[in-house]
Amino acid sequence: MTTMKQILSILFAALLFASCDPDKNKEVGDARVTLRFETRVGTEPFAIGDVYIDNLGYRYRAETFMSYLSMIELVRANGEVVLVKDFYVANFNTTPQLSVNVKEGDYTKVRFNLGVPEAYNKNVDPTTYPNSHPLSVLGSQGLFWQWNTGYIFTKFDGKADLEGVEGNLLLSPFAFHCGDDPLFRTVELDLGNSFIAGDSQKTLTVVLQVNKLLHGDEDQIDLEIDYLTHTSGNFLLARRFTDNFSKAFSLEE
Amino acid sequence: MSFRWWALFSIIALIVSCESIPEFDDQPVHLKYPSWFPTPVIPEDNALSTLRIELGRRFFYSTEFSKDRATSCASCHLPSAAFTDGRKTSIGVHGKTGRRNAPSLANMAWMPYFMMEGGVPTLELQALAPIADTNEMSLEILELAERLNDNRYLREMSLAAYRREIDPYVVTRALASFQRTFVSADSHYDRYEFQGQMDQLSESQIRGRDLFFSRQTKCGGCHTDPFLSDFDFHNIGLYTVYSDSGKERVTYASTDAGKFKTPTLRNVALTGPYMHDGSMQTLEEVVAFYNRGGEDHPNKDFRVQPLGLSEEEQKDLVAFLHSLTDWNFVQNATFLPLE
Repeated sequence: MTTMKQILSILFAALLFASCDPDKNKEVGDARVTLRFETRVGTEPFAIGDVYIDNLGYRYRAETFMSYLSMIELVRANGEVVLVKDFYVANFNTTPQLSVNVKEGDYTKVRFNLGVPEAYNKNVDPTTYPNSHPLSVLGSQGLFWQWNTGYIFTKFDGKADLEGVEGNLLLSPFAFHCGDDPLFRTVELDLGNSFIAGDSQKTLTVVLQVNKLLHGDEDQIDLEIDYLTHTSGNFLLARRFTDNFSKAFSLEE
Repeated sequence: MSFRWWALFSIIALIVSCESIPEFDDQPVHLKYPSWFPTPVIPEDNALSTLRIELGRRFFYSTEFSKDRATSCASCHLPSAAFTDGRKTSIGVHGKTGRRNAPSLANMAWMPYFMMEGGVPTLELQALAPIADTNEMSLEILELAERLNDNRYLREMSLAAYRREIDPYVVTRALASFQRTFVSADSHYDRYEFQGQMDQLSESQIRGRDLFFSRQTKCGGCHTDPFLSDFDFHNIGLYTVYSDSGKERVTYASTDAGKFKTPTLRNVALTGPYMHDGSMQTLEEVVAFYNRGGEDHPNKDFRVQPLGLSEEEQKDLVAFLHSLTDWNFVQNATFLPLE
């Protein structure tokens, strides 16, 4: 019953959102920029439930992959910042897309944070937000720790086959639940000097290489040894995972 | 269907929907506490009122709070045991056993943070933890709000108290309001120490009191007046290796391993078993433990050292601890269920 009501609430909110005119705040001459977060393994699209092979030859399947993104911004050449979205729960089971109207001009960066800024994280009460807000009890979609007040910045759960043999069952669970202020990271992706013309539509694709979560350029996480962190209990692993995550993004125009 | 049937149906529907709900009268409440307690901080958005306290009281005893509708807050926090449950560790949803001993809820209005590792900053937020914990209530708070709103009386009371239907905000506020009324300040020790009633402690209890606050035992170094807790975190050398790492869980610092928030000793004779994991059954065991000086641990508080207390001195300490019982608190009728 609850689930049904929640689904109906979300559908209602979605309908409301869909019925809003995207050009409502658009001024004459504005361009429409869409940020598209696309998950991939190499050149293949990533999907929850599909099996992939990591750099150590383990077969793995993700069952949950969600993350808080905050202060998603476009930075203009003159230093001006355009806020795309303040808080957003990205469920990488889908391809998150966010759009914003912008002035014509040169844009140099896409910038966003992984996690919730300190001022909104600890000592903040999710019950004070309306259900439609990403930091509310409903909006957080489970990315909140009740026993240690604060948001879970990233949740990456699944199972692996450590023998890496095709046809084997995936029986070894892994869970990376990372959060808390020291794990807040800022990602900046260079656009060069990308000119966005007025009255145009532009899509910027932020590519997230999922294998890099485990195998960053400087740190390889071995799922046989390091497969579980709720931040509490194994903070170092949570930090390693978060650092890999923050370096797994690139930009395609 | 004829107009007559429609009219009859409408009248019946009207009667059914008008089942009598009384007009709620909400009045501000000023928390009563003794002069030797500091002023409590009550959040601006949750000022105490008669209705808010009553709503919290009804929530506190409601088994709708657990997935299996069998566990309420009061299942682990019984007024007669100073809001503990007499168990080593608490039993929650579907008979699951938790990892920790239920803490007393005495004087919650003055606690600076909650949970034994101190990870929750407000009394309002504290309620979220046991509701979500899979060993305690294991219920989505949104489902809980829906269950509670099905009770029209509670829903109307919520509207009168908070001007909104029951939701996570109301659940957490109302429970906090009720718990803030749990003031315990009328033990024999209070009367002796703060009201000058010198006949309130026995000779043995006075000797125990003197020992408790002495340089020899240093018990009063952490169990400070007036709450008999400094609300700080200490490793007392209970184990050489802790399976529950305590404060390290929230700071990730190995220097915090085995540190737990100092529990209040008010009503301690009623709150056994003792220690974070309920591993000691009696006060005699606890005093004997401190007399031995605890196990070796790199984080052990420097004050926990062998004390060299005689049998008589240990008995005096236990006698003093019994003087911390506030019978008016544990028998307070306003803490009991309404129905």
